[in-house]
Amino acid sequence: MSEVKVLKQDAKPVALSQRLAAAIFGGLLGAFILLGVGFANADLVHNAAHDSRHANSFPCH
Amino acid sequence: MLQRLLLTGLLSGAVAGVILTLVHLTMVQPLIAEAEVYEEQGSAPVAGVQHAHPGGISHTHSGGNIPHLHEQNFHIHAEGQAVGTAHVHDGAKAGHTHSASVAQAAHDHGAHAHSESAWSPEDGFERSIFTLGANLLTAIAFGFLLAAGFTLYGGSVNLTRGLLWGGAGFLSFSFLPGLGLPAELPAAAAGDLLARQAWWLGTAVASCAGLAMIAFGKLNVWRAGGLLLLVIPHAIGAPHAEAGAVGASPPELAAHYIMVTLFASAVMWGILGIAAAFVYGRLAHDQAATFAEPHAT
Repeated sequence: MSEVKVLKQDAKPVALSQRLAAAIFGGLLGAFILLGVGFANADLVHNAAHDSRHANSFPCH
Repeated sequence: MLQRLLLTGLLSGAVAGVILTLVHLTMVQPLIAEAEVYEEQGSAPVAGVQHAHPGGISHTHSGGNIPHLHEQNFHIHAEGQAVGTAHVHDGAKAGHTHSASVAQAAHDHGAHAHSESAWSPEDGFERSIFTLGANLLTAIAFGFLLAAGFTLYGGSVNLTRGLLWGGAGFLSFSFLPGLGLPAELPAAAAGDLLARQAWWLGTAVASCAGLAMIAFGKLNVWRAGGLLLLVIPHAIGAPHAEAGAVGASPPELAAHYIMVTLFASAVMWGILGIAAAFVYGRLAHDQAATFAEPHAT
C-alpha cells in the first residue's frame, strides 16, 4: 500500500477556491442536520429528539 | 478534500455522540425524568372546580387547582407555562360573575405547545435509542462544521489545537447562547419559541464569527470587531418568559440541570475537537491510500 502513497497531495497547499468550496458544502451539510435535529418544529421530529434537544440546550417547546 | 472533511466530521461526530449519550443517560436523563413528574402534575386538569374571590367573582376552572387572582377584569395565573398566563376577559367588569361555560372556554391551561397525542418514543430502551440517534446526528453536524473550519483554516491541526477548536465550539454553541437562554428542563417557563430559536442561532453564528476574527485576525481592528460580534447578541438580549412566569420544576432542579448539561456539552466538544484533529491529521497522510484501511501506514 505504501507504493500508492507516493502521490502526496499535501505536498503543495490546496488552492483557496477548492478549500472554500469544500468548506461551504461541509458547513451547509452540518447546518442542515443541526436544524433538522435541533430546530425543526414537526411534532414527530420534536418528540424523537426531545431529550437530546433539552440536553444540548436548544430552545424547546 | 471534501472526502477528508466528510470523514473527519462523521468519525469524530460518531465518537463524540456516543460519549455524549453516556453522559446524557447517566447524568442528564434522571433530571429530565424528575422534571417530567412536575410537568405532569402542573398540567393535570382538575375538572370543574368552583370557587369565589373577594370582590364577588366566582367561577369554574377546568384547571381549578391553579392559584390566581382577580383585579377587576384583569386576571393573572401563578402557573407559568401556559400560553396566556396573564389575560383579560372581554367584557368582564368588577363584581362580574363568570359563568361556568365562559370560564371553561377562557381558561385553557393546556400546558404544552406540542400536541400530546403525537407519537413519541416509549420510555426506557426505545427512548434511549432515539436520544442516542439524535445525539449522534447533533455531534456529526457539529463535526462537519468543525471540519469545515479546519478546511477553511488550511493549516495542520494538532491535538492541542483540536482541543482549542472544540473549546471555541463549546463557547459558540453552548456557553454563550446559554448566557441568554440556559438549558431548559421540560415545563420551564419560556418566551416565544421562534424568537428563542432565532436568538440562539444568531448568537451561535455571531459567536463563531467573532471567535474566528479574534483568533485569526491579523489586525487589531479585526480582533475588536470580533469582540463586538461576541457582545452584540447579549446587548440585544434573549427573549424571555413573561415577568413572573415560573416553570413547574423547582429552581434547585433547574440549576442542577444547567450545570449538568454544560458539563455534557463541554465533554462532547472536547472529544469532538481532539477526535476531529486526529482524524483530519491522519487523513492528510493517507489521502492516496484506500479509505477502507484508514490506519494503513
